[in-house]
Amino acid sequence: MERNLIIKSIFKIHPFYFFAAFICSITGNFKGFVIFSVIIIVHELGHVIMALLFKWRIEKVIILPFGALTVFNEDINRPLKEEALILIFGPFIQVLFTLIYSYFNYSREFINYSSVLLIFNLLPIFPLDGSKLLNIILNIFLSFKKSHLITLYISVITILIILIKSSFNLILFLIIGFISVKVLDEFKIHNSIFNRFLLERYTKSFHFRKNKIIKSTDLSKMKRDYCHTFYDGKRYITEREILKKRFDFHGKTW
Amino acid sequence: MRKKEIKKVNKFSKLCSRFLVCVIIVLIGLIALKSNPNLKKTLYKNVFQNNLKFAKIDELYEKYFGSSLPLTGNKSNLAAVSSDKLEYESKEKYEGGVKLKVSDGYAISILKSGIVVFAGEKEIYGNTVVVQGADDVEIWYSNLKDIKVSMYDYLKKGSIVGEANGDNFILVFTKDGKELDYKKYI
Repeated sequence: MERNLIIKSIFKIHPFYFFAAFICSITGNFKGFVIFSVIIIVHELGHVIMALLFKWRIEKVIILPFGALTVFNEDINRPLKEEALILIFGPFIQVLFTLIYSYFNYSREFINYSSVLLIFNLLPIFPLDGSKLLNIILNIFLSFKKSHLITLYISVITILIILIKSSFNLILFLIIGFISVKVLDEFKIHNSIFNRFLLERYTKSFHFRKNKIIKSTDLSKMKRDYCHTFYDGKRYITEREILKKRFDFHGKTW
Repeated sequence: MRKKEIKKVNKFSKLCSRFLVCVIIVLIGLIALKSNPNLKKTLYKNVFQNNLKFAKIDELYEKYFGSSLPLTGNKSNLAAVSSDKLEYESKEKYEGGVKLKVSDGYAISILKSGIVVFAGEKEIYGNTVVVQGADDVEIWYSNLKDIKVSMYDYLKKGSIVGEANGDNFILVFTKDGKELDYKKYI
């Protein structure tokens, strides 16, 4: 009962979507718009289904004219494997849906639109799937803080390349504007996200199999999916201790 | 428990009030139409008969703001393209348009690019495809054996809409619901 209510209320339609709908209806591109919307919703359902399987909390799904966003309200320290699966399942379902649809009812238009959406979605720009995938790959090799920053810088570079390369298109530019705001917001909360990453590790007990030794007390070298041991030149300190040092103020306030 | 009940009532009354507002708007519209026959005529003409000038708006929009479906490139050309000139043996006036005599099973390609605003059967003319061009002229391609396009497809000049039924097909040129002289166009 409660779960049903959640599913009903997560889909939010962005005003840009209505704007694009209006533009498409006066220019007579009904078909393209409907195809776009169906593909977007199928893609997003892929993410949602996988997220429900792993019991991730979904905050909302924002539907835009040229894609959609699934916003999670979940711990950052959840396993990388789960996040990767949730991420990949969207494009996977979309490709599957396109193949099945074109098997029964071949239409070049449908395949064209679907591939355009897929390619756009796999661009490494922050809220899109491509950048999240990039982030996961970076997280395997680099620390959490570094990979988050690199992802954001790559997003900015990609946005600039798109802006330079493409000719003016109102709807595309609206979406790029929306994305740019998201990237800037993410830059602003970069430090607080890192803090959240640490605080989660401090307040909740996560169990990671792999262990990593860091030869300093630099917290920003911490990696996802790893448990850490710090070495400050004299002795080894556990992650728990060093986090306690950071967060426990003994009642002091500044 | 009690809080929930109050919420439910609120939602229900909201729905009711919305429904009532809709009813009031519909009734006002009906009364206005009944009392004013002129309004009824124009409404019928604009809503049920004339099409919005999709092709024209699309051309203007694309000129200033780019494609309304970004990154998809040019309007995909669904139908096969043949020569963009019509070949016919003879022509004669037929109803509001012109009847062209062609060889059996002649594939009809369109004269001007535009959007399909009608695809189906019309009285007198038979299977018809109406293509609205960017210059507001609607060209009817009638007496087709089969229709190979569907509603609201954007077609390029030279796309094939279907085959002629028998040895002739009919072209009609209209603008704002009035038939034009075909001699200007072919």
